[in-house]
Amino acid sequence: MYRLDNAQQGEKYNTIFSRTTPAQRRKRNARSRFRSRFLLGLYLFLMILPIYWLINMSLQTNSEILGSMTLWPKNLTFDNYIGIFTNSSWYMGYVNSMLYVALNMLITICVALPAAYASAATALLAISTCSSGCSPT
Amino acid sequence: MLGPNARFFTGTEWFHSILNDSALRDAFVRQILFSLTILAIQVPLGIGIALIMPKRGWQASAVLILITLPLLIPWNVVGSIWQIFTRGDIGLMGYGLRELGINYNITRNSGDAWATIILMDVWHWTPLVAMLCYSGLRSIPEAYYQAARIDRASKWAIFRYIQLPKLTNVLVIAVLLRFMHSFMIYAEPFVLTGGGPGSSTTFLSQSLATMAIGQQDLGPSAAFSIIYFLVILLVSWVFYTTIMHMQKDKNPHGGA
Repeated sequence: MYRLDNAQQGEKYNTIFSRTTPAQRRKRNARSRFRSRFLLGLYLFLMILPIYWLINMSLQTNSEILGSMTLWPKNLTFDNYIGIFTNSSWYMGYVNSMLYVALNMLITICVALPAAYASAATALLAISTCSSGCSPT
Repeated sequence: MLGPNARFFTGTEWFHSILNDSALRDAFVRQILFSLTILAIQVPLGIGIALIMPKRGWQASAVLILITLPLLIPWNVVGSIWQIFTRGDIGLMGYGLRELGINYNITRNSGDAWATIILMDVWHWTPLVAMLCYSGLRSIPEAYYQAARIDRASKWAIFRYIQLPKLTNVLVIAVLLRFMHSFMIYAEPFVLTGGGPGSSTTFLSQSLATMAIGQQDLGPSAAFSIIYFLVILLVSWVFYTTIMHMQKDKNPHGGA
């Protein structure tokens, strides 16, 4: 008896009724795969560029940023980061943000959990009291 | 005579003055134009990216992480990034375009400012559409593709008759989210162009902030806020109901 599975081994497509040879199909698949990888790579590259520029500038001195166009930091410096973490007028912004987020999370969860429970419970109640004759909406 | 403490009901006076204000009407037109443009770019681009993203393995995780990066950046930082990125003297894009001989200046030319704001929004929010579509695509059972292979369906046919119908629900969410977000956009254009040059990129939220905080015109800005909110509500409602009705017409047994 003819086994379809054996004939299709290693093939994604139905090979019995297809007019193209497996080699042709593999070549076409590889080409379309390459094209999609290329497009994706191009998109990712363009997407990363602005972020790269931000990182690049954060590692340069002000004079290097304003002085000349450099694609990567010539004199690598971490002074900007040190400045952020030692100057209270900078890092207090982060502290305030974190405080806000923590409080917000706490309050949101405290309010949302009972609300979710209540709405779930009433929905269940509605389903259980509504027999099959009762139409939704 | 009315003293400073006399109170009286102004009726719909503020609403009349808001609806007849030509500056606000222009801002509204710009806002609609902006929202429609970014939707027209982001939705097809997002679907396209979701289609070419790797489906499994370490590459899938790596691409997911990279693609999510812009979504994690705060709005103000996005504005600052693009403000610097497009500067002709120190920004890569501004410098590159100038070297190519293109006269590009977002503080002088309103066309350049518009293009940059749209590019910025596409950069920031296309990942959201792509991620939603990617999750939608992943949830399609393999059996559908097998059936398509047996029928020797072309790639386009698979997209048109299997993937797109299965994506409808996530696309509705994506369009609604993107419309509401883009209609309320404030921080990014404010940091990037400050609404200029002139008022060519002043959107509704920024005109509202100028009116309420800058000029202290509290009555008109309250009326304006209500209209602003109602417009978003109305458009979202109309869109959602239309899509849901269209689906119901196609499928008499309820939602997809």
